[in-house]
Amino acid sequence: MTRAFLPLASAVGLALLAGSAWSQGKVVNVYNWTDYIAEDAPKAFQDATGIKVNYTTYDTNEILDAKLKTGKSGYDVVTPTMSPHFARQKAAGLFRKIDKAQLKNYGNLDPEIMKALARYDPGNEYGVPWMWGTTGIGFNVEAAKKRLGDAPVDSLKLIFDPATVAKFKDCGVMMLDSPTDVLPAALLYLGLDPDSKKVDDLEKAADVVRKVRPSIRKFTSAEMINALARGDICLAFTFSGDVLQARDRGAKAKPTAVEVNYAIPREGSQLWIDVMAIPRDAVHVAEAHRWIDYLLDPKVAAASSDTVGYASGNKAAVPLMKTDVSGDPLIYPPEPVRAKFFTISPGDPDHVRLRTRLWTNIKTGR
Amino acid sequence: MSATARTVARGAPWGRAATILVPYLWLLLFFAAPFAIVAAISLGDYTPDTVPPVTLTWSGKAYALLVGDALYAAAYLNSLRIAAIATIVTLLIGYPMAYTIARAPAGWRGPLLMAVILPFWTSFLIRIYAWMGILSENGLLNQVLRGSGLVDDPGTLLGTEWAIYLGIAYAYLPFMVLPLYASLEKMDAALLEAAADLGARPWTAFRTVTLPLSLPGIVGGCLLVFIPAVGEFVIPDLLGGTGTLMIGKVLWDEFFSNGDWPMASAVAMAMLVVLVAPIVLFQRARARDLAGR
Amino acid sequence: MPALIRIEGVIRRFGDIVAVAGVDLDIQAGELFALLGGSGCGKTTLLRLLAGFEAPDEGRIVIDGVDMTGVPPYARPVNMMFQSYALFPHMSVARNVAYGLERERLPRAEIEARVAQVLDLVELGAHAGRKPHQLSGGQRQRVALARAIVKRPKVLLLDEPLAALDRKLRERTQLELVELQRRLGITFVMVTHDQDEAMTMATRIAVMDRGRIVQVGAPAEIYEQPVNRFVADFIGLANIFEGDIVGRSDGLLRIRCGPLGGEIAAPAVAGLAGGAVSLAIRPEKLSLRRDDAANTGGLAGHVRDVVYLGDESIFHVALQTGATVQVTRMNAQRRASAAITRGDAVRVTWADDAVVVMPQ
Repeated sequence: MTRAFLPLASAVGLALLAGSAWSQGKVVNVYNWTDYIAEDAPKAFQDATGIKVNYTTYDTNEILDAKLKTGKSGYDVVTPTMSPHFARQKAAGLFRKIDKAQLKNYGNLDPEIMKALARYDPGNEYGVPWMWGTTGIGFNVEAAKKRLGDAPVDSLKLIFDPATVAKFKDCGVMMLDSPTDVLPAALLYLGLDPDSKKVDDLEKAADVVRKVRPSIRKFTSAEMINALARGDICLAFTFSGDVLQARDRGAKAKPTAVEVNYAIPREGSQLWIDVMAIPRDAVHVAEAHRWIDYLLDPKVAAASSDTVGYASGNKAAVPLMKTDVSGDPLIYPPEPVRAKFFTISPGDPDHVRLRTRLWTNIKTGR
Repeated sequence: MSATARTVARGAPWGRAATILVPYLWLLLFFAAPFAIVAAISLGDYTPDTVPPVTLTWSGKAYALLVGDALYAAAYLNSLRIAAIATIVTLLIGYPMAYTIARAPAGWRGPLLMAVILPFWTSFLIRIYAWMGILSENGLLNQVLRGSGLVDDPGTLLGTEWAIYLGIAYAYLPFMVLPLYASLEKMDAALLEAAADLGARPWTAFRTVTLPLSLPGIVGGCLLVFIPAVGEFVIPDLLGGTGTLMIGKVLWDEFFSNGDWPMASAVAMAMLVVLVAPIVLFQRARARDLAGR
Repeated sequence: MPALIRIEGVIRRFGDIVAVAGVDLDIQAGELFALLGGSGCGKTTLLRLLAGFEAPDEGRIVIDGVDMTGVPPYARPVNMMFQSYALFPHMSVARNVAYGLERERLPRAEIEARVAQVLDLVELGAHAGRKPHQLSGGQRQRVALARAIVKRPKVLLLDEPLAALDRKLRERTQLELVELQRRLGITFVMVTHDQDEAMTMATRIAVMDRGRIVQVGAPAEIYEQPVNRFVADFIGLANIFEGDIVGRSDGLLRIRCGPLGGEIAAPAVAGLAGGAVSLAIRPEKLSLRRDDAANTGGLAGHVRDVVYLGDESIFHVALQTGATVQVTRMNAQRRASAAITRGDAVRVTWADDAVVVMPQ
């Protein structure tokens, strides 16, 4: 028995040692979305600065949220979505202020995006925008043509008008499993304020979703890209990035290519911005600033946008991108479309609870 | 007495104490302590602007909501129902497998059991994703069905409750097969000959002898599948439809979507209470099985 | 009267092994028939062929005039008592016994009456509610018996029925079984490796060796007139020698046998007129006397060893011819004053008809 204790004790000892060494050296612990950076960026940063990057990834805001709220996450840079997650986390005091003096590339940021972000982070004190996009309609081009002819696809009617959605039921409809993304769009469809916190308004929005629910195969946040690209579904309400990735994958699909496209609803689209922030309990604050500043380098930002196909929060990077990214109106929409972007505020706990509850009831048909 | 012998003699009681202590220490560290923490959180208040977002108060507000809102009871009942059906499906698939393996030539049993366990050397998540690929609209199953010309429009299994049953049956099959195999394998083959000799046709012999004697295995296997299936989250989320209300998903929503730790903890505590009955049943069955040996 | 059981040219192979290598046998109704042999002789396989657990590769089995080929165990008019008893562990004694009757879909009341009757017969009426694991070995054996006879089969098959019992219980149960068999009038076919058991119980015995039946007969016949060396050696003790037939006179064969001191006489056996033969003399058929002036004749030798068994003793005698023989003597007196002991010079004699002549 005593012998069995020894390896256990030494393992624990080693872990403790490793932990202390980890916090002393020149390292930065980055927690980012999956597939959200040019692949060689961490290595290039390490070569340029001598700071080792521990790069780990997540794929839902909720996982990041839970880790931050538990405290002592061990991360130095995280990338939550502006609203509601970043806003709520900031309110809970989870982040430390950005020292802009340490960011020599700060001036490269897009003022328009900074302004949108300032609604939740006045003075942009806690967050630095990384990439942004819209929420809209992904569709299978062939299926849409067959069902709608040449009628326009860039309308919320496509996903909220029961008769229209029903036409797509046979080929598959999916919707984001996210009340904070779907309910504001439903409010907008009704001509109401998408950021309304009124209970009545929320109930009305919920009814809109309830009416189309029979045509929806699944509410999900994770399966849309593959489902669209494989032709398993023909209509989806989701983030721009998902659909644009599905568009690329579908074009390469075997044996026959699947043509997928994206439409930004003309009624307006919820703007999402993913924000780099430094947790309050971060240990490597200086290194965190170096990392953020490195990503603000226009060349680095442009390479990342080229790789993942999202619009960058870095204005100076745009001219350096491939033209099929910077010139794509679905990635960088023209001014009239941008004018109708909206964002929503986090809401208080009672509102959150009500929203989640409404959503559960919608999904389970209660 | 030699020096070595003396050391051994002195060391032995200490060693024995440690041996007894280790499982208790393990339980304390990895069951009792986390359980106490979750219990304490479940009684606290949800305070979104603190880290962590809970204040320990013993108010028990979460439990009031748990009882007051019909959603939770509905979620528990639905979880129990789905877990029960999935368990029956697993039993119907697992019993013939365990039976065949137990009756196979001795040299074959090891490899066959291995074959049952082998898929579990790959990641659970990857295997469930593979099922998504098989069951989806243009997935393997439908391609085969269409290709065979048997069915033109087979429909989609993915997203239905049957996909959940299938997923659970697949994922938990070894937990069903192994206890069943254990109880079937130790059964004396002469008992079936005796039954036949006394006039029982094969099916009657199975019903009156094999089945009752494998009852401990059936109870054990069913509970080993049922208990985790009630709280299963990944399989219903990935294979099931949106409309499937299960307690695992409710818990996920409480914790991740709402960030309401006390409520999530209360849901978890209530799940434990719901499962106490089957767990006690399982322990009884095991004790009886051991005593009968 | 036609035989109740008729086994015709039955062969059963397991892969390369021939377990039953061509058996022809008739068993009459009312017999207590024993299949006797060492392990691997095919006796259990033959019993299982009768029960229907095995099917013959060649030949056929007819029971009560019905060809059993293709008839499954559950449809045969036989019941078996298993060596391991094979009692259903999850059923009470009464349920075990009732099992076979329930399969016949008899009325509840009749089942209960017959179960009670047969449990009384085996003196287990008081234990009807117990589970098998709550019973002693002897009680379990009687449950197994009750379960097998309650269906009133035409034939009861018994596979080493007493092997699991200790010696005292076994000897008592042997007689109880015989008594029971007479009362019920059921034909018993019993497999055993124990020659004493076979001799004590059976009306007829079939001695088996390597898948074949070597000799069939009543116990005394098999003991006194074994057909070959194997049987003589397998059943009881025997002194066995080689010899040559040299002539015939007065219905006796003249046989030259060096170990027995030259030429001896033995009763004639049909079919044996000359050539090399084996001779067997049972130890109790040899007489032992002290070698002194009063006793001449027979063969001289000395006692090498004495095995004392209580009721009798076995003397190992080294003859002057070079052979060693075993001689048994009853210990009729408690303290024989003139007891023969180790090292004593003795003379061994026998009657002519004590010698059994067998083909080599």
